[in-house]
Amino acid sequence: MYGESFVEEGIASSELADGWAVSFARFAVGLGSFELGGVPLSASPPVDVSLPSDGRGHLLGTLELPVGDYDDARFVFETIAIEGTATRGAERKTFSWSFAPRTTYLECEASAHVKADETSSFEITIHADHLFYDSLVSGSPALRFQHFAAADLDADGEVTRDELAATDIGPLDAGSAGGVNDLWTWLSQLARMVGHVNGEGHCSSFE
Amino acid sequence: MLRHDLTSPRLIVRLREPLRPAFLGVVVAAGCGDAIETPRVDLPVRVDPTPLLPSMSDLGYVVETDLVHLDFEDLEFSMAGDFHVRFTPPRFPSLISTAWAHPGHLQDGEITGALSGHFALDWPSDARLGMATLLAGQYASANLTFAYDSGPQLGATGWLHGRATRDGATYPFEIVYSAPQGRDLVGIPCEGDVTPEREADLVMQFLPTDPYEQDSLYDGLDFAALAPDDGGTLRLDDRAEGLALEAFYRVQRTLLSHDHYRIAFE
Repeated sequence: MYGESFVEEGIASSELADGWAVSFARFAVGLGSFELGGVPLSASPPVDVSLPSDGRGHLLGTLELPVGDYDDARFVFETIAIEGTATRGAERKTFSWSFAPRTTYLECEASAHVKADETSSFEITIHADHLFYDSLVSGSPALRFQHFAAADLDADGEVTRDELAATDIGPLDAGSAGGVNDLWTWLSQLARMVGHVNGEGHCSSFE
Repeated sequence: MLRHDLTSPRLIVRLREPLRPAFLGVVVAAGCGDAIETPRVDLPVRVDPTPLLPSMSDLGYVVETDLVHLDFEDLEFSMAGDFHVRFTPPRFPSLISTAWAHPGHLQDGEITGALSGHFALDWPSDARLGMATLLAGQYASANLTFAYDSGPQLGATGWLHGRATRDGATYPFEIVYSAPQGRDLVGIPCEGDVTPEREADLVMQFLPTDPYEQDSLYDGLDFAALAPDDGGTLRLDDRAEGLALEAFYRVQRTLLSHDHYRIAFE
């Protein structure tokens, strides 16, 4: 499992449309299950993908599979716990948010190619920037943090879950289904979408 | 792979290459292997001419909507058996788990009917939009793409005006909003069977009260608190400030959802 540079090194201000920069002290993903070729991976404790990995990611385990190509990967995120800091000039906000999304990822756009006497790899990639999308439906959303910063209702420098739950999403686009009105619900929806495969490969994600 | 939610009328997933009016009929095998092309049916699409019904909001306002305007493009229809991507707790009991797709993914499914073009319509009116071409089958929902006015409300996707009344006081209002560029409206309920034998109009409806949840479009809007001091018309748009801007965002969000739209077979 790999958080890429966005998790390990942070998201630079040049990436966010409103000038905030975000860094993570912790980004722990609790994998409920992983299965490929019908073979399950043994359970493991949550993986903190904010820890440096020299670009290799964090090993979850190994599977023995017959030679062949496998495109049936499916995995479940049980928990996501993040801690971090956002800065913009002299402004600074901290956050510590935990989600229990119980999200199943399947129908992924990636295959594992198992060859004789070789070790192949399959990567679950975490796209942390999705937490800062300004739309749940746009094909090209911008990254923003200001709406979270503005939710620090007691101005103590920490943006809490309760503060997000008490803050309307304002101009953010929740899409055709509606029903997403506060920032905690908004963020929880985005937390269901951070799982990818082999870099940029997408999966369908289900409750 | 398609999933079935038999209890929800709002299920749609669109293919990455949605069929346009020039689509080929679906060919199915029958009998001794002879292929039969699914028949195409042309149905007229028109606007609901009946007056918009008053809506009671959660703050006790009786809101009469005089006019709703909408600019959009490319009305598309999907059959039952597709699923709607939702980001909310299910509105209906679901046989299959709810799916969320990645933002930016086309929420794709099989489009089997369409009426292409740019349309600017008002409710209520006698307007006829044209003839939609649909493959025969059981339909569940429709999509459209929000567009923009090129006339007096340049750049606006839609507007509406009316009056809210509570405790004997009446507050006239106008709401003007714009959708994000390229924004689709997905999952408009559109339930009915299309067959070569059935004659029906597809009637586009705007419903100030959500018929499924009984929520009012105007829930949360405190017209008395927002009304201008001179007793004039309350205007909610993206140039509002403070509480009025918050109110605008709330109602705009609802107008950009499928909650208050329906296409009926009549």
